[in-house]
Amino acid sequence: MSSKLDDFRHQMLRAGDVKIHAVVGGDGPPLVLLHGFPQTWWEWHKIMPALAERHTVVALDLRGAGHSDCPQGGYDKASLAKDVHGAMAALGFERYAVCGHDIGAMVALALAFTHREAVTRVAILDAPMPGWSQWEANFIDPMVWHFAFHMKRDLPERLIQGREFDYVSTFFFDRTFNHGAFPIEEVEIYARAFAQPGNTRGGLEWYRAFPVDHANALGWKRDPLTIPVLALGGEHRWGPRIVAMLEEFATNVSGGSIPESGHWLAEERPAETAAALLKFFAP
Amino acid sequence: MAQQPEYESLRAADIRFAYHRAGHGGFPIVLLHGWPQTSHAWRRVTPLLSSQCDVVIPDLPGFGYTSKPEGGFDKKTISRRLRDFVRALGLSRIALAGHDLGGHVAYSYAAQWPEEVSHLIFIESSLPGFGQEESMDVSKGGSWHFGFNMAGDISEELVRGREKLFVDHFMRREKVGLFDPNSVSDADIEHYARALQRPGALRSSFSYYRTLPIDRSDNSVWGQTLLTMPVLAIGAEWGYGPASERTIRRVAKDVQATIIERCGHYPAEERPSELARAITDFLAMTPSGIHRKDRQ
Repeated sequence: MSSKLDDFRHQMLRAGDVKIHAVVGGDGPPLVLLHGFPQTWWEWHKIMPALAERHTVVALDLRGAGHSDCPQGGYDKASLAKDVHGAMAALGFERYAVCGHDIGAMVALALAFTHREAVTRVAILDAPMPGWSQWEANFIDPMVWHFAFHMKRDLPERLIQGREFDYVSTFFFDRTFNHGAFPIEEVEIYARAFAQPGNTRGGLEWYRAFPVDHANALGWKRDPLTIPVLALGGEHRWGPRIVAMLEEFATNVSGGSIPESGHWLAEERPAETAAALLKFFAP
Repeated sequence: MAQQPEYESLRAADIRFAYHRAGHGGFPIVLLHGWPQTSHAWRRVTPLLSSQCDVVIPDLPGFGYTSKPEGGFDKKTISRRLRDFVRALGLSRIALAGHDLGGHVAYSYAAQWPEEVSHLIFIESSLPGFGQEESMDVSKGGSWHFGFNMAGDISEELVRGREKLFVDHFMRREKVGLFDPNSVSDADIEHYARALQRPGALRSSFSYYRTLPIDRSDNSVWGQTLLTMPVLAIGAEWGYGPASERTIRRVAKDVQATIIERCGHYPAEERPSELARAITDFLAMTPSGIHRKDRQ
């Protein structure tokens, strides 16, 4: 599998005041992949070769993660979307398709709303969206206890420090259906990235911006997206609810559940996820 | 500095209770600490009550030096164990004061054995099913720690070895915490931290939260019958404010309330005189409480 990634090139892209790490490969219309928490571009590694057969694939690290910068501020999803657009512009892409998972899905939706001229299609993978009618009610779901924990300033960094593997592994395993997707070596890749100076805070900052994100999205959804939107969720996580959720934001939504998957679609069910994305993004 | 009397110990059913007792012979009152504390929380109040009251201050099951049972952290079971302890002390009818989660236990006790509780004093507390949900809903200004404490083994894993950081955070947090962060000393924080470091302490302490859904269902049944004993709700201006009164009025008929000013969530430590006076005034003005003749 990793040998197929040999054709991808790592690079640092200047996007406004931050440097963004991107992994780029393949041929065809550009498709940018946005990871979630507690991950990096690596969450797409199983499906990047398949996507690269028909697209120029750009898998990047969000502000606050991996090898991208972790500045003090700018973690609301509109700002993260601006980073992504800046990185794509730096690569020479004015129009592109977007696929985001988890926090990256929130960024993808923000990008589609704030850069309507640039985003051709958007795929949203397994996440609740700020601005959703159930967004605030969802906070009391025990499955998202981490929202409140991450939103607490300073203390979570201190509690997680030195225990990144325990935290990240628990985070994966609690939300996984196909545990074959997460051998210990895979979890360690994410835990080590998350333990890099600044990255724990960076990942938590994505949550601390939720009140801003929610307010922004409530405004955006008054003028729904008309581009095609694919809403996919794990059968055992957001799959059953995600299409109706996205229909609050867009007029042309398709999608549903990936069977026998938890939250980590591209890693738990890479073949099914890649097939669904290739079909949706086909010109 | 105010000190508790020496710890005593008593076995009741399957639990070894560690407790302090002062003022033998007076009007019996049992003081229940909150989370993540121990009987130490009452150290400044005990001497102010012991001239008039027989003051009993246990470490709740799972906290301090009381046993850390494997299960039974729902407040129905905790209050049953507490009642076993109270009866083993030879007390049949008590005034019961509970702070924070101790208030959950006190309500559970009063609801199940109303004839055995002469007075209920509900301090900076809430009840599942009757307002506690708002305090855990972050989208409505609630606190993150309910979800964290309920999350499972990861909570113990993250706090283990960092108990002082954790206790210090809660007691001195700007929202709800102490009005004056130095009204409690670092040594006091250490005291609570050391108690949480004992094997099983974090598990037990978080289990008080993990059983909140069970408590909610028990409370919904008990709450259909209003308490009739006199109840005093005490709020702290910078803590839960009027929320404790709002909650207890939904489950009790005879409620008085007071707010202690310039005080955070820990009035027993931050405003012990005001708290003790509120308690003794309350006990004195109600018919079954302290009468001057009782003390002669």
